[in-house]
Amino acid sequence: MSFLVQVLLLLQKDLRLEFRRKELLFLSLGLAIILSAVTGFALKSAYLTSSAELALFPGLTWVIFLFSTTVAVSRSYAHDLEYRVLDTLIISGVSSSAVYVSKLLSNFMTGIFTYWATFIFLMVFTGVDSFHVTLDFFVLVALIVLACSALSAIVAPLVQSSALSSLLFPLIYLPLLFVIFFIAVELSGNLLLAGSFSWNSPLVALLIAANVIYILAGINLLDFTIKR
Amino acid sequence: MISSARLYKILLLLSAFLVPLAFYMTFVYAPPEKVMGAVQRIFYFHVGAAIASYVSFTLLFFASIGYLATKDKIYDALGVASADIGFLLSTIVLGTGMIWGKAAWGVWFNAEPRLVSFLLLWFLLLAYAALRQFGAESKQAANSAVLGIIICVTVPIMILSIKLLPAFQQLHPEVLEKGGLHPDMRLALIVAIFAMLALQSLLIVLRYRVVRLNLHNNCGY
Repeated sequence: MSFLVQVLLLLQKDLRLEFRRKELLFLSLGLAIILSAVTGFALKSAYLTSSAELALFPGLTWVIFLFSTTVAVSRSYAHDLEYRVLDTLIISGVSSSAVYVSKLLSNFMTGIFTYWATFIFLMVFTGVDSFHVTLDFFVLVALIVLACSALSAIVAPLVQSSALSSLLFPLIYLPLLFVIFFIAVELSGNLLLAGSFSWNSPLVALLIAANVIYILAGINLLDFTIKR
Repeated sequence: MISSARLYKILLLLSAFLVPLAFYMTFVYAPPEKVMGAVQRIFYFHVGAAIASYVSFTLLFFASIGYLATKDKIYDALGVASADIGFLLSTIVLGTGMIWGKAAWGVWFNAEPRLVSFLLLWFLLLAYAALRQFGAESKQAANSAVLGIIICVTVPIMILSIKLLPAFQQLHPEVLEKGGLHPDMRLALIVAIFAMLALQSLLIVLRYRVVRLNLHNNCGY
């Protein structure tokens, strides 16, 4: 079976399971709504000017996104480990790289859904809506979410079998994401507020490099974390 | 090949010579800084500890790769020792930086990119120690090595991202990058860096021997 077929079948398994259980979807969506509402209320209570609210908006979407998705992606391997799915897959000859790529893609889908849900809910709760949402912004969000997914797909199995996994995952994942978060706030702020953006920016190059490094690290290192 | 006991003795002698010399150079030989006065002298230990902590990260990286490639517990012990001493050095960097910050900026901590990124590196080493302590025992060494590699590939990206940010966001002084140090200060700094590297090597060897002893007792290594 080719690598691509393996990835697609594993992704199909994860998505079918998610559509049946709706666990990660409800978890990330629920957190996105609650956090957006609380943030909106906090901004209104501070009596900020509309330009200050607008300047804060891009950074806030990424903060809410991080907290909404962290809980969801930390559980991305939980079901597989609980029912020893990974052991079965490895014994049956499925490559660990295919497992990694399929988890990356399913986390990516959860992440994209959560980011745009966060964006819309925060817009509703804060009343801030004068942006320049261009095609560039969609691509930038995809690149940032991809880097987060690449990292979460390799960090989650490291802590999954620990009794303190719910504590260890954010402790490892959030500081590692700092660079991506930094770049996300900087570039999305430039794009949404000023509308000016250059794909030749060194920060974009760094974001792409981070994506490549984390994906390569994940493909090569997952094998060591899931094999007994 | 040199044994760890012999290396320990050599490093102990080297540190016993260099550390008092660094104290002398810092507090007696180096001239006082005109604006900040005596508080500036913390800079010698701050920079020395920062450089030594990056050396710890490099060691952690190679030890992690060595473990995954060979499954030899020697590399695992070296990785743990490097991470532990790296954590100690990062704590010194943060502590001395905060004392300096209080004197220079009037606040203990400023949300400046380099300060925040170093704090996050400190958190990552804390996470490494937590994973080591509370992670699944059967895969402790492999999981730690994987995390060690991920942390170490993140460090250069983090450093590069700070350099790419606009200059107005950066408050951290760049004395080494831009030059302008008095020759006596430069000499004191060089001695302090070597003293800190010798002390770091000594502590790593000591911690490595303790970790190996623990592995030997627990796993029959």
